[in-house]
Amino acid sequence: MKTEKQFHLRFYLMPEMIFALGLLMILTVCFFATTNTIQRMDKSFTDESCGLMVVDNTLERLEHKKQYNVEDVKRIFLDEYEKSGIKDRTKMLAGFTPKPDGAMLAIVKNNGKPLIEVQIKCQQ
Amino acid sequence: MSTVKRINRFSLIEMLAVIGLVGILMNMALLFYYKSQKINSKYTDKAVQIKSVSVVSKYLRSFVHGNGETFMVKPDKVVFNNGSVIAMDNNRLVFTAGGVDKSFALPKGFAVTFALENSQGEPPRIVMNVNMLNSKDQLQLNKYTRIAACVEGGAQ
Repeated sequence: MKTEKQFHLRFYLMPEMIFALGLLMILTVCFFATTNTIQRMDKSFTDESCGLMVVDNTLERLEHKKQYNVEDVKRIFLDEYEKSGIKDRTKMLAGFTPKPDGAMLAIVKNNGKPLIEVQIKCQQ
Repeated sequence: MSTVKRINRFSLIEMLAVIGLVGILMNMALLFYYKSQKINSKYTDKAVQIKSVSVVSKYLRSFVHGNGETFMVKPDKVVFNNGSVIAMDNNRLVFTAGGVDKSFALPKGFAVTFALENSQGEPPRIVMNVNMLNSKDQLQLNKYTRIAACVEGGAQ
């Protein structure tokens, strides 16, 4: 008959401690990385929404002009780009290209790809 | 035969270390929860804002085109010559025409301001800026989405 009760102290080994701390760090890093990605994604969507509105507002203003030529299109497009504020808070650029039968308006993202391109027929 | 009971005794340092660790972990959990909730709420509002802008821009333009020239444009109100009104009312954008109100609820943390712009050779236009508010409910003037609506019948 065993009358002696032995209580053993439970120690953690160094590898176990390192593993636990490593896991905690991975979870923390993942959390902040996800947060950061969401923030960048959100900023990108907001900027894209503003970029689309630049072209939308340009078309609205052109629609209500009796006549317009390439110079008018350029002036209105650049005016909208300036007033939209995206020039200051993003790296998106306004691209204006005169064409033989009109002009091409584009908002170019910072990776060089166009966010939106619109071709407008007008007088030179 | 002797009965020996050995009881684990933790030293004060160990107890303090455990209490400290539990405190840190609980604070971290609380921080994660709080931050997640805050981010979730913020980005839901922003997504609603993007959607609202696309819906409101169409409605604003058709409303402005349909009501002719403006009588008065204030930062929170636009009154047309025919009595129609666009105004902000407790975070709701209210369009009133012929005594009938139509309202759009804006997402929390956003506000709308109006302005009248004129350019040479163009009809006047009403510009609606959907601005973000900061934590003190003040307009963040560098964070906005601009919507332009030309006034029908305005002098070019």
